[in-house]
Amino acid sequence: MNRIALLFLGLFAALAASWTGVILVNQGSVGALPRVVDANEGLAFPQPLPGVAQQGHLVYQDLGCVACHTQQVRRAGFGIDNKRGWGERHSVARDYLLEPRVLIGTHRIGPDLRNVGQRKDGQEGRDGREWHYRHLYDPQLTSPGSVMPPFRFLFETRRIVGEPSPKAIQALLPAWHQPPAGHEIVPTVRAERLVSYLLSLKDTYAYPEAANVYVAQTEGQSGAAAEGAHK
Amino acid sequence: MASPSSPTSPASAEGASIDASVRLPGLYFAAAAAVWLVVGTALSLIAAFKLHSPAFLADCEWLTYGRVRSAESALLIYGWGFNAAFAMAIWLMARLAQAEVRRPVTLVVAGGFWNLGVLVGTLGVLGGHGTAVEGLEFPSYVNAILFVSYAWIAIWALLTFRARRSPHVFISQWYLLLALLWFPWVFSLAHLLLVVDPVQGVMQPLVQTWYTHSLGLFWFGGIGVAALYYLTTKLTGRSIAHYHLSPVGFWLLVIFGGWAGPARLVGAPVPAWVVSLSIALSFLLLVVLSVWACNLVPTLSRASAAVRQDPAYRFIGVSVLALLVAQTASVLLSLRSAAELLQFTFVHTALGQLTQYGFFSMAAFGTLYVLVPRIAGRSWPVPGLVGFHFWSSLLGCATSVVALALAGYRQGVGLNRLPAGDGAVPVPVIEILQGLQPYLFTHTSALVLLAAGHVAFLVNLGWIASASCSCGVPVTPSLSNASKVA
Repeated sequence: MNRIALLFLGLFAALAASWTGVILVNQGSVGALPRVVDANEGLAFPQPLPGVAQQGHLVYQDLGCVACHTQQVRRAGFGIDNKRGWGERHSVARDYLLEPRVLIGTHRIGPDLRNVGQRKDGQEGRDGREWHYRHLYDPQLTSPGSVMPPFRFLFETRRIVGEPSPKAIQALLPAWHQPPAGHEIVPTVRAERLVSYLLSLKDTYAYPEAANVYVAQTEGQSGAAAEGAHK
Repeated sequence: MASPSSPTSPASAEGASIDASVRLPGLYFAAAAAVWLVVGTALSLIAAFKLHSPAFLADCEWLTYGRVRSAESALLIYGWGFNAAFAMAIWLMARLAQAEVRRPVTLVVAGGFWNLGVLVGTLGVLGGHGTAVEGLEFPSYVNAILFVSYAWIAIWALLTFRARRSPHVFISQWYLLLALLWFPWVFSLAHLLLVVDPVQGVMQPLVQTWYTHSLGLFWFGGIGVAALYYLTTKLTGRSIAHYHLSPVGFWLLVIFGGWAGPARLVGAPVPAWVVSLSIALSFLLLVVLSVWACNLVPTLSRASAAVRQDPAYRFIGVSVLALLVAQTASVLLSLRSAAELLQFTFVHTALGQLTQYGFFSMAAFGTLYVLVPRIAGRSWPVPGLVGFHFWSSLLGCATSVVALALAGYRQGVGLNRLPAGDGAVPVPVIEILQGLQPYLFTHTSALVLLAAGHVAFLVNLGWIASASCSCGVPVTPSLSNASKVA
C-alpha cells in the first residue's frame, strides 16, 4: 500500500468519473432543456414569475419554508399526491427552468406547495390572498391542529393615522387577535411578496413529457382509471 | 480516574514529541468542536420542541423553525463535525506518519478563521441570509472563508503525511487522504454550481445530492473509518482481521460511492436513468460494508475484558455498529418501493441521526477520549462524566433514532397510502402529524439526554484543557497496548 502516486491518481479519476456521470452528462441534457414555445398561445413556457413573486421566493428561502414543504408532485402510482389534489399532473424538469433556486424539498411535515396557488384560488378573496394572510398570522385559524408556527412577525400592528389602510387584515381575524383601539394590523412588504409567490405556484401547462409516463396499475385499478388519475 | 493501563490513561505512552506537536491544535479543535456541539444541540432542542409546540418562540423571527433547523444542521456539520474531524485527522496523520506537526500554531490560526466563518454563517442563517441549500446552508460570503481555512488545515495535514518516517502507508491513511483530497473538490464545485452561478432547474437537486452524499460518505465517512481502523488496533492491541481485504473495500467505495447520491431523488423530476444507476451502484456499497465488518467486528470482539470497560472502546464499538446499520438502511431505503412509502418522512431524519451521530459522532468521541489525555498529558479530571457521556449518548441516540423511525413509518403510511375501504380519501396531513406527537415528544426527550451528555463532555474537556494550558508542557503520554497500527 505504498504507491502514493497511484492512490492520488485513483482518487482523482474516481472523482472525475462520478462528476462526469452525475453532473456533466446531465448538464448536457436536462441542464440545457429549452422552454416550450406554444404556437397557439404565442407564448413560451414556463412563464417567468412576476417580479413581486420572485421577491417572495427570496422570503420563502430566507424563512426556511423548505424545511417542511416539498415542491414536487410525484407521478400517479408512486404515492398518492394526485389523490391529495396536490397537482393536476406530476412535476417535470421543465417546470423549474426559470427558478433561480430550486427548492424541491426533502421533507413533508406540511403539504406539498407546488400548486398551492391553484388550490387556494377563489378561497376567501379573489385569489386566496386573504386565506394566506390568515394562515400566516395564525395557522390555527385556517388549519386547526397544525404544527406550522405563526408568522406574526410578517405583520405590523400600528396606530391608524388618517384613513385606515385598505390592506388591513384585522377584519379577517377573531376577537382574540384584534389590535388595541385605533390600531390596525397590516401585512409587511415581505408578507405581501411571500403570498404573491405562493399564489404564483401553479404548474398547469401540459408539457408533452408530462403526459408520456407509464403508470403502474395497482390491484383492482384499470388502465383507463390509472390514466384518468394521472390527468 | 482511568486505570494507568487503560488506553485512555496517560500512563501508556509513546510518541511523546508527536503528541506534543499536536497539543495546541488538537486541544483547540476539540474545544471548539465541543462548544459548537453544545450550541448545536440547543438549537436542535428548540427545533424539536417546535414540532409539538409550534407557538414556542414563534414571535422571534431569528428562531422560526425553518431557520433554526437550517442553522442547527449547518452548525453540527461545520461546527462540531469539522472541528472534531480536524482534530482527529491531524492527530491520526501525525501518529501514523510518525512525524511531528511543524509550526502547529498556524493550524490554530486557520482554525480561528474556520470558526469565525461558522459563527458568521450561523448568525447569517438565523438572520435570514441562508441559501436554503441542504448541506450549504451558510450565506455565500462565508464559504470563501471556510474554503481558505480548510485548504490551510488540509495542506498542513498533507505536509505531515509527506514528512512521514514510517515506510508503510496504512489503510487509515488512505481514508484520511480520501477525505482530505475529496472534500475541497466537491465543496468548491457545489458552491460554484449552486450558490455563485446556479445551474439550471433540476440540475440543482442533482448537484446538491451529489455534494451532500460525498460530504457524508467521503469526508465524515473517510475520517470516521480511518479512526475506527486505527483505534480498533490500538485499543485491542491486535492486528486488523482480514487486513488484506481492506484495499478492496477502499477502492470499491472510491469508485462507486460518488455515484450513489442521486438515489435519494427517486420520483423527483430528474432523469430516471441517473437515479436507477445510482440505486444499482449503491448496492455495491454493501460489499464495502462487508469488508468493514470483516475487518473491524472480529478484531473488536477479541478485545480483553479490561479493554471492554474502556469508554473509548465502547464509543468505537457503537460507532461500528451504527455505521453498518446506517449504511445498510441507506441502501435499502433507496429502493423504489421503500422510497414510495418513506421518502419525505422522519425515517430519513432517523437515518441522518444514525449516520451523523451514531457513526461519526461516536467515532469522534471515542477518538477524542483517547487523543485529549495524550496531548494534554493528564487523565480526564472527572471520569464519572465520561461514563455519563457514553450512556447518555447511547440511550439518547438510540431512543431518538427509534422514535423518529417509527414516526416516519406512520407518516409514510399516512401520506402515501389510502385508508382501507371503498371511496376512501387520503388522511389529512394535519391528522397524520397529530398522530406522530408521542414519537416527536420522545425524540425531544432523547435530545435532552444527549444535551446533558454533551455538557458533561464540554465540562470535562474544558477542565483538562485549562489545566493543561495553565501547567505548561505536559508529560506526553501515548498508547502502549497496540502491537500494530492499522
